[in-house]
This record gives sequence, structure tokens and C-alpha cells, in this order.
Amino acid sequence: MKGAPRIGVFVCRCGTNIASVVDVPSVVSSAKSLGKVVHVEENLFSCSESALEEIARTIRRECLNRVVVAACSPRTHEPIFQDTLAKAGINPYLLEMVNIRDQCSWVHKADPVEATRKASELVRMGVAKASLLEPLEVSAVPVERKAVVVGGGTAGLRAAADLASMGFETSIIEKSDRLGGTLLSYREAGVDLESKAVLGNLIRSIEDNGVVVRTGCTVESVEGSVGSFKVLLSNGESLVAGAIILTPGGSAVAASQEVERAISSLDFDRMLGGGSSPSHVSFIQCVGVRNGDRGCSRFCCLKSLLQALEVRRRGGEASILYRDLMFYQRGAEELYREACEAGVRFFRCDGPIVFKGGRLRFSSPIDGEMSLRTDVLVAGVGIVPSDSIPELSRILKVPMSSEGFFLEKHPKLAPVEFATDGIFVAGCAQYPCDLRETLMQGSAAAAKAASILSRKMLQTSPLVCVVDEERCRACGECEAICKFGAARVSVESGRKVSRINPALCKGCGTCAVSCPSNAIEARGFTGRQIDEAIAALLGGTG
Amino acid sequence: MSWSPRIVAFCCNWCAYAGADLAGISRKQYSPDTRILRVMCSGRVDPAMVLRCFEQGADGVMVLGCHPGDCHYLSGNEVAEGRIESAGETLSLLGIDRRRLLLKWISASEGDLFARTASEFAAMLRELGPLGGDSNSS
Repeated sequence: MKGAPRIGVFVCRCGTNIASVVDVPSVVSSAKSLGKVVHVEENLFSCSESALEEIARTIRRECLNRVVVAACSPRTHEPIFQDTLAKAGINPYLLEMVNIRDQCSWVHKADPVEATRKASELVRMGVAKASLLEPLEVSAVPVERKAVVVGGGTAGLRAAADLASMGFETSIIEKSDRLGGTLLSYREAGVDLESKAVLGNLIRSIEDNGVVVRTGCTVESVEGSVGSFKVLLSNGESLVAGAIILTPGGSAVAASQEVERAISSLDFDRMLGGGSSPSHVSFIQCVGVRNGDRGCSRFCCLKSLLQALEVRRRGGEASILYRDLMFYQRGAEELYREACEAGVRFFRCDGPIVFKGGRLRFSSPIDGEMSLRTDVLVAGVGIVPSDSIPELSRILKVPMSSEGFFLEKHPKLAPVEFATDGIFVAGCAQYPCDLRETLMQGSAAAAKAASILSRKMLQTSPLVCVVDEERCRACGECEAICKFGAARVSVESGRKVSRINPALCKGCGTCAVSCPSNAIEARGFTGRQIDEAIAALLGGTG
Repeated sequence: MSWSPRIVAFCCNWCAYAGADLAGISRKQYSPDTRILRVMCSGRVDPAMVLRCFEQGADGVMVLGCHPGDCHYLSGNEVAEGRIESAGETLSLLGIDRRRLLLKWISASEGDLFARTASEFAAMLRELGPLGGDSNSS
């Protein structure tokens, strides 16, 4: 900022809200005595249309280059006064607000003397900080109107199809050599008609909308930030994208490892698909899940129920051994009733089982010691996180839950978003979900990504942290403490330094404190500004 | 005229400062000794800033942030907790009663808690007396 600070202070009466308790003329007169303050006035309502115009005129007339408004909360009124500064032709970040309503008149009604003293001291702190304010520029970054979807299973296909149908150039990166993920295996088994219909529909949809598919390919590294990511692939290609959706899915627990001589739900689908009609089938639920860290996989009870019904249709006997039955999906309760009527038997069992010589032996707290004739034992296996998740978590700096699934920003407020802007999650990579939930999440992630991709430019706040590269010793403390991956140590013109990506930085300032070289400044809340405010409060009379 | 403690309260923008706003909006009356200094996150509060407050004669300092798990920046408050803990240890070494430094979580919806905290902290400092009077201060 050119020239010495010329600070203007505007003290609001807020009608009687402030003035009935705080002696406003006294606050004005004490502000007049402060250094660098060249103009002080009181307003009936500083935020009224006429007062704002008058403030803008005063800024021009008095050549003010810093403004302190002593009124209410910056949380509600800062944008209004910033706008006035801009209209008066000075940078909007040269404003400091002091809250003498919420922090003085409204809360110290019984003590007008102390409330007035406090208001004057808060103004003194505000003026001190204002004298060190710097003009800051809002920058806008262009948005690459393209999306990259990592994982070509159900969630990824749905997300990609949705985005492409909205007109965004979309690529799917799939690790295996075929699209479809878990759904593809069930479709090929040939029994699950729903998987067949859904997968066919999804594949047609990505073809019709021109989604670019790369199979046998993984993500090597990701640079950049929301609006402009650069995704480097294992095949050497590099893609640009405004948003990234992660859908690496989950894997089924290996049935035979958990229960001797048992086959998985998928293998049993293959048996049924091959035309087999076993006469005595038992299902054991919660295999490999609901122990220690692992929660319920949610869809396996329903899957076994559907298979048991199919066994009954083919004239066989079907028994389900369960710990708890989870039929929470829409329509699942009705299917459970249908299965009961069709003669599927249910046994509560949470102890050990022995499957030997065509008999399944177990102890049930309800039915006692049991021995069931069993030709085929099916393990209703749960879902565990895909082994791609830790690697993607590391590359994209997005967090995992204690179970090893991806962890969203907030379970309700931001269920398919990560804390890092522009990266989204859907499907079994987040938690085990059934087909319907997976599809809904795919669509939700696509809609959220579209809210970024549909913009031409993204504005970034100037209230971010910046590194003084001369001072930086590249120790990496900032990189370690930043939860948003904004600070990164890299080599710049032959020298290792930390750089903070303003598009990723949220401006919390936590890194500024961690820096042992004092090389990081949190804009809008610099160490000097804060110290100056403290000194103004305490220094004078301390 | 009775002595009043001088108190600096570092409040994070998203929770504690908003809590103070709510105390105002809901007209919760509290002791007028606290001076709020707004920062974006409690993780912005440098132990050195806290020590400078005491150096310049503050009788008490509060660092008020979001509840664990609610931090607008994910975990700045947890970082703050460790730093304020270490600042407290430094205070002890300097012979300053550690109770003069308070770290507390106050959400945007806890106006009442903000008011109560400010009053209780001020009352405690009135008991302790001015900064120089701590038992083993040099």
C-alpha cells in the first residue's frame, strides 16, 4: 500500500442497540486520539444505504486507505462494508470490523461504564490491526470442464454416465481389463437378473454419452487442485480434470479362508447359474465381518435370502444361520416374509459351526444343539475395502476410516465429498452398500462434481497462507500439519522450498504457527497484525 | 474502585466467535473484562502470542475453539490443544499459575456457555489477583 496509513473509524450507534449502553461519543473521542487515525465519526446505522454512501464519500474525500467499522459482527456484516470500500475505490480487505454490539452493549447492559471502556479498547485493537492490513486480491482460476472417475464398477459407471450425459468430457480409469466390477461377476454367473439389467444399462449409457474408458490402468500421481487437476496414469498418459470421483469399490471376504469347505455367495450364484439344483443348502451369515473393527456389510443378508428363495423354487431345502437379520432395504422385509412362507428356515447362531460328512452342526441359543443335512454350505461373505484405497488415499491426500474405507467430509452435510475440494467418493469404497445405494451415490457424486464443472471460473479466497521462500528451509513441518495437502515441499529453480497452493489452502493458519523459520504468513491474520492488536490493548497501560 | 482482570480471548471464527455473537443476540449478560481477538482457527494461536499477552500484563488468556470433531479445518483445534498445553508448561516454569490460561471448546450454538465461561474465568482471576501476585512468581 502506497503512503502512510490513513485510518477512518466509523462508530455505529445501531439505533439504540449500541448507543443505549455504550457512550458512543466517548468511543469516538478516544478513537480520535489514536495514531494514524485521520477521521472518526458516528453513524445512526452504519449499514443503512445512506450511511454506506456517506462512508464511501468520506473514504474518497479524506483519502482513507484503512477503514475500521465499530458496529456488529463481521460474520454477518463484513461483506456489506467490504463492498462499500470497493465502491469507494480501495481494496475491500483494508477493512477491520470491531464488534461493539454483540460484545459490549448487548451483553453488559448493567455496566455502561465498563461497556464503553471495552468498546474503546476494542476499537484501539482494531485500529492497531488495521494499520498493518494489506490489500489482497481475489483470484479466479479457470475450470477444466472434464472429469476423471477412478474405478469402473457400478458407482463409477453411474457417475461417469451421469456426468457425460450433462456434457462433460469424462474418463474412467479401471485397474482390471474389464468394466463392471463386482456387478460383472454376478452378471456372468447368470442368476442375478437385476445385475444383468443394470450393468447392461450402464454400459450402454457410457457408450452413448462418449465416456472415454481406459482399462488395465491406474493412477500414478495427482497434481493441482479443484478446477484443474493433472492426473498421471500408469500408461504414461496425463489427463486434466476439474473434478475427480473415486469409486474403487470393495472386495468380498474370501469364504473358504473363514469357514472350511464353504463357498461364497458369488460361487453359489455360479452353481445356480450352471443349472445346479442342490437338495440341502445352508447359509452362514456375517462371515469375515462384524468382528472387531469391521461393521455390518448390509447387503449379504438380502443376497442369501434371494438365493435361499431360489433353492426353494428348485425344490431344495434352505436354512439360514444368522447372528442378526438385517433386512433394512426397501422391499427386503416383504421378501423375508415371502421366504418364511416359502419354507426357508432361520436359525440364530453365533457360535462355532462344524461342517463334516454332509452335516452342519452348531448350537443355537433358541433351538439348542442342531445338526442339519447340508450338501452345500454358502458363506454370506461381507465386503472389505478394496486394496486400491490406501494407495489412492496417499496419492490424493484423502482420509480413510478405521475400517479402511474412504472417509467423507461429513456423513450428513457432505456425504459424497472429501474435505479437499473437487474430490468425491461413491459406492463400496466408502462403506459396504447394496446395488441401489451404490447407484444413488454414483449419481450424487456426479451431481456434486457437476456443480464445479458447470462453472467457467472458480474464485479463490485471498485469505490464505503464503510462504516467504527466502526464509523457508524446506523442513516440511507445514506439509505434515496441513490437512488439505496445500503445503508441499518441492524443488524450485534448484532449491527445495515449501509452496502453498492457494486453491487448496483454507487459510486456517495452523501451518504458520508450526513453521520454525517463521516463513509462513496467514493473510488477514498475520503474526504482526495480531501482536499489534495485543500490544495496543495491553501495551499502553500494562 | 475494585480491580478488574485484563483478559484476552482468542476466538476461532467459526465456533467460539460465533458463540460470542450468539451470547449477544440472546442478551446473555457476562463479566465485561474479556477482549476478544478473532482468528480463523484456534490452530492459528501461537504459544508465543499467548506468552506475549502475559508479558504485557494480561491477567488471563482464553483460547476458545470448536469442539473436537467440529473444527472447520478438520483438526486445527486438536493441534491447538497440544500447543496450549505446552504454553501452560512454560507458564508454570515462569511461576505463573497455569489456571490463567484456559483452553475451551465452545460451539456456535453455545452462547450461554460463552457467557458463563467469560464470567467464571474472570471470577477465578479475581480470586487469583493480578498477574504478579502468583505464589512462586519471581
